[in-house]
Amino acid sequence: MDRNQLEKTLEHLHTQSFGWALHCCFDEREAAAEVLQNTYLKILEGKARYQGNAAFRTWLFSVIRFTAIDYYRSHQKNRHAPLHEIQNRAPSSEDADLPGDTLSQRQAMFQKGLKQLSPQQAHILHLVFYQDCTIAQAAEIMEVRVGTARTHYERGKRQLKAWLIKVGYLNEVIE
Amino acid sequence: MDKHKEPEHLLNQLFQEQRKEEQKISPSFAELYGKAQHQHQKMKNIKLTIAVAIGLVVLAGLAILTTSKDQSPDNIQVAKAGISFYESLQQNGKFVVNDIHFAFNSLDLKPESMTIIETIAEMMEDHPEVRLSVEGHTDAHGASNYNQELSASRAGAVRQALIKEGVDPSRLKAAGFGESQPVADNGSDAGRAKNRRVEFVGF
Repeated sequence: MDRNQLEKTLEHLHTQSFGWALHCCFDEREAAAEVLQNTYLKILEGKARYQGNAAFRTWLFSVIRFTAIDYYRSHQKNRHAPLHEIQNRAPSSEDADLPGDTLSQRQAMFQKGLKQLSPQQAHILHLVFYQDCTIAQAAEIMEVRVGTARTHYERGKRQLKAWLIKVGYLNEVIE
Repeated sequence: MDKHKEPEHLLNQLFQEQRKEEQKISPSFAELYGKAQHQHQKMKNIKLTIAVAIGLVVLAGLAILTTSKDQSPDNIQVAKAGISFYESLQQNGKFVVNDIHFAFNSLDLKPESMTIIETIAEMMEDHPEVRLSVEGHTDAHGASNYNQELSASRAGAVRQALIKEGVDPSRLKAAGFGESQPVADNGSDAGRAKNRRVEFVGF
């Protein structure tokens, strides 16, 4: 892939990439922008090089995920949560108010539901529903077996549905 | 209604809504990629400057060791010249290289000279507006006709080496001036070494 082609592909995937970066950065916009910029820099410097072994997007999303992990590792001292907490964070149901307040009430409720999930479940559901990945692609990005990804997917979905029923939203829709 | 499918549909809808909301706050590709490019360029320039500075410091050290004229104005000038080829080109319209070497009586560049050729090619890739005339000069040792011919051939060889590194031929010219434009005294070894040089002049 030549430079021109690479830039066009990155531009085409930019919005999706930002969505994934935002997800990997716990909805922190500034952090997501920095992570994505660092990802582009890694690519420009040749530190991350697409070898054609996977689909381009799968590769790019892996780079973004690792860049986000690096970002939080390097910012660990300045953060409120240590790295292991960030990686395995399972927020409580009290953790409802999102910063920024730009999402609708329904979205705020949905975000609260997403925070009930384990990070792995949330990653897989994001990749499948938000990014339209297959479970196999999501597994590749997360570097887990397809069977494991499927388990996270099913459990996450079940838990999210339970949450939506609990808050009364799912019932209202079905009726 | 398929009760099992309905929640799936709802999840899809909620994720798509989230996507739309987040698209509104997404910085543009041009902004983030532009910043990354700028940072990349800055790093490259720093690396290039450091490489050139190290090269010049080594050369200055060698000159000190061989001539023991530590305090001469020339040595001070070399030590101060820790700037990139591009900066020198911007400031003086040219830059001068004394350490492009050829095999004896040949047009083959010595392998150690290729680092300089690569650095110049990289600089030209980073600055597409730069066009260079490669100008060869010799010392006054030997017949002037022979020196004239040798300097032209070697300037041509340097031009070819740059083309091999990917520089567009239309951005390069080559000329030889033999011993006609000395910059130092041909009566000493140090002076002759300075006269044997390649100048890269912007055009």
